[in-house]
Amino acid sequence: MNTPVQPEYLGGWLSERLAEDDDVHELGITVRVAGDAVFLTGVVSTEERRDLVGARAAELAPGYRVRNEVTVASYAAPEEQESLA
Amino acid sequence: MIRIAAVGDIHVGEDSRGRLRPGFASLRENADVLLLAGDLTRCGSPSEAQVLVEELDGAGVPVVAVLGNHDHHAARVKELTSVLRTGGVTVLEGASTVVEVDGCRVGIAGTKGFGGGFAGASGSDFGEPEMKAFVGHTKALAQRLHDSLASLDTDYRVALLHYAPVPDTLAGERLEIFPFLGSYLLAEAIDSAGCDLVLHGHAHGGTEKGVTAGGVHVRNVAQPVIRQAYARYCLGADSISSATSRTMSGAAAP
Repeated sequence: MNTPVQPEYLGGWLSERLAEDDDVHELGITVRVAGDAVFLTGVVSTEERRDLVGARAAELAPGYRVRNEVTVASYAAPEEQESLA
Repeated sequence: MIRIAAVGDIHVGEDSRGRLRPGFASLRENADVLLLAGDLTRCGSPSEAQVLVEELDGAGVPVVAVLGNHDHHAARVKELTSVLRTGGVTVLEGASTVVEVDGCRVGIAGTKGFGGGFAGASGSDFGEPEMKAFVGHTKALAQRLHDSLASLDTDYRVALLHYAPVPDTLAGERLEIFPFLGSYLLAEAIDSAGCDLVLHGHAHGGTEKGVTAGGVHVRNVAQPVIRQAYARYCLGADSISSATSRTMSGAAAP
């Protein structure tokens, strides 16, 4: 499916592409279109996945500036424990 | 007392090798059991599950898991589950298992769960076959969760889910997608059967802490929410001590 002509549909369409496209499958990315910019937020598992999401959005939305604000998950060991009665 | 480590939505892919193992290395010191709240893999392929098994190798504690929607994507659930079980992971769906630590027995009832929404704003088992199938799936899993919890005669009972049972832990997510993130039918089953702690994932943009209408602690352990290798919870004591004896029993669904 081609990039939507109406910019109002672009955010939703990009979200679906990032979720459904075979080499991406990132369902946790929020896409917001503002003016000529596409803002991407969310958390992915690796730096490569973050870059892939940004590159794919740029490829799918030519003419828009892609602001890739996606972060990479931290897998540090926890320091605190919650005690539950 | 039992110390529980929990995380969901780790979305292991072929490129995840070596990324989780350092965080899991502290499990033996910090916990008596590791519970995985679904979305173990990125696309549900058995090869991704094998990467997870390798990352868990040497964790030194029993590992109990439910699957999530990502684990169903490739439609290879049986193969994926087989890889996990061969790797020592107990996979639950409408079933339970018991972990015993120094005489303290905790029962874990697990299901993926499903969506539908929350009381007053939920889908109904009515209309098109697709809608009936959607809500009917949640109803069936909630009933099996209830039955699994009710069958446990242990010191503590934990419900392990992927989808959320309450809206509390969805705070931060857009209201419009709540029906795709969980269902109150799961909470109703939990409150009806009795439970000490509910763990779920799926809601990456949600918050960690919530409670059912019946007063059961609910924790959203989706990795993007807890932002660490796993979260730590202790049932039955205020302090940490070293557990030395762990056994598992019970039956997982095939």
